[in-house]
Amino acid sequence: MSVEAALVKNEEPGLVEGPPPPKRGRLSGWRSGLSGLWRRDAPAVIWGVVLLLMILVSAIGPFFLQSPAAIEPANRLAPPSAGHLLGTDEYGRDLLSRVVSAGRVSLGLGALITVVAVVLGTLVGAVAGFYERSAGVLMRLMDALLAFPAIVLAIALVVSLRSGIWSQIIALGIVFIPYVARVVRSRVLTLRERGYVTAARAAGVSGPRILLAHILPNAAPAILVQGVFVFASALLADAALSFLGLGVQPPTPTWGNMIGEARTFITLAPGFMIFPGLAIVISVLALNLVGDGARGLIDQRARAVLELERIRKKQAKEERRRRAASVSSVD
Amino acid sequence: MAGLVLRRIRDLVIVLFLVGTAMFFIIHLIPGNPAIALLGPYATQEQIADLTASMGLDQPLLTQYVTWLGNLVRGDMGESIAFSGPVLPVIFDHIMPTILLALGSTVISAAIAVPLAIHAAAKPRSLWARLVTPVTAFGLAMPSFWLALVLVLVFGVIFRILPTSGYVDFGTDPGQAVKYLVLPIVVLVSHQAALFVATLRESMSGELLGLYLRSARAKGVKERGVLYRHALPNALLPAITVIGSSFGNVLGGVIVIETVFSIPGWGQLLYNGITSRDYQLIIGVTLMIAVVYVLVNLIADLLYLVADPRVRVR
Repeated sequence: MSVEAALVKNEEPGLVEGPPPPKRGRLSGWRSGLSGLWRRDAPAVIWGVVLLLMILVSAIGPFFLQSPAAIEPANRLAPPSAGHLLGTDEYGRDLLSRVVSAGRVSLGLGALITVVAVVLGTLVGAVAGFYERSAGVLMRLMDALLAFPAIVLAIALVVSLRSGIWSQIIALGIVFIPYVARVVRSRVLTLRERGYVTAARAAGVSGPRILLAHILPNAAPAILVQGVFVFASALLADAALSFLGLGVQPPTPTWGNMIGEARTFITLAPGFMIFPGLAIVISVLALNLVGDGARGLIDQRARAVLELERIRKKQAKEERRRRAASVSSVD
Repeated sequence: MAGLVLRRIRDLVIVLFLVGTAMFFIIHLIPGNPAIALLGPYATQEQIADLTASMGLDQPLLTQYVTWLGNLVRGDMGESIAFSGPVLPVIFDHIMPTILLALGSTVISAAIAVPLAIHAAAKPRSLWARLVTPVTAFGLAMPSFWLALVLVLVFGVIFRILPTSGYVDFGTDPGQAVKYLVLPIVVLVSHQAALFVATLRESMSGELLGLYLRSARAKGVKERGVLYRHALPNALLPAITVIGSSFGNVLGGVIVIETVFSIPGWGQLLYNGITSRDYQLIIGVTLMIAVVYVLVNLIADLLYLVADPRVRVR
């Protein structure tokens, strides 16, 4: 048992024992929290803060701003002013409060879509990776989903399902399942060959339990990173659907349907079209860059493990040489 | 090699079959009789019954499915309501703008991306290499329809130098046709070129570590030759797959921005199909998009085989 325990420990990146890594800046950074993150990838941290701000403003902003539905017919399509920081739309509604409350809807929808895609995609990917016999059917199904450009599949599904916010979430969730399933499957395929899985099997742990308790937790970082990218793509796809008038319907504002409405007025009030678009660009940019940063972090952990192994091998070699030397000196 | 190609083609047929079947059942399981939707609120009971019978909607679902599948195999995708005629010719009538936009932007993107990516990978400390990450990230984050509207605002409304909507056939007036295609293609390229640059730069940076480049330099190959003749072909290999699968993004992008620029391609066809609840047309266009996309990916895979002998051995 103790041998197996040691094996398990060796397999776990976070639990690798051994000498502390020699160069502080590069290797030990990921242990030391935010400052380490900052040193490693400052842009990712900055964009992470931007992302959190976007979410925070969308979540609590509507409580502090005027109502996004309050109309002011005398003040239609007004340029930015002190009363309306971003100007007004075609009914004289305040654009700032509309962009902010649209953010709540768009980001919320994006998050729900991501949850659907990640949960179902993880399920499909994990089963396909762990039970070989199911892989053929499941991955063929995923290929069928991937045979469409994402937005076209989303359009087809939204049109087929009954209209409404939930069918939109399910439709876009389905669209992004294969992107998660592929990543999860490839992770599971590698992880199931690890020593600790063999050990668990030898100890009589059941298949589903191995998958849930031993494999998935180790696949979690990769799934999370993919989830961030799916969030970004979901925001874009959802915006396109709303823009085409196939998503959330006005008067509930989303960034996409605001741009759709603003289309008619681009000469009269360019801001009406530009600000919701900027909100999308900033959110997607932040998500993508945070995802890149997180992926780098995972890779660096992998790299750190490799580095540690290298160091340990070197030390073992030295140890052997020293022992050999001492033996020869005794003789 | 031939076996591999055959297997890929078999997979393709299976995938398309699954896609078609799924679409058929989803659309036919929606509650509501399309005949009623078609005839409008003033139709009599007999008219509805007649049309239901002539569309075969009174048959059991499985019978309808078998008929539909049989027709599909013979190349009959059903009748379009909006165009009151068979779907397939309508789809082929609208194929040119979409294919032109998708292919055009793919070629232009590749032409722009290759030198930029090589430069960024070869000189990682140069200004361009530092700019490339934020620029490509920005290109990838912009919704295509929004960029389209911004360009319309700048070039169509403020400077008034380019037409902002419509399409001219190449046969009638090539100069005019190009003018109408500039803005849509710029929109598509901004996204696609960013993707290519990001991918190619990464694989190029990997190749530049290769020792075979040192051998090439030792032989006296010029730096240009080292980059373009020795490193690039290897770096392009992973990029081929990305270009293939990005074709789906481009097709999707074309679908959306065709509605912005009023270009009579598949996007507008699909959009019209949706607004007029023309389900046969929707299934037809969607299936054709899937066919094109899957075929392009097949070609990309085959190109990969041609380009990289190592894959063929396996």
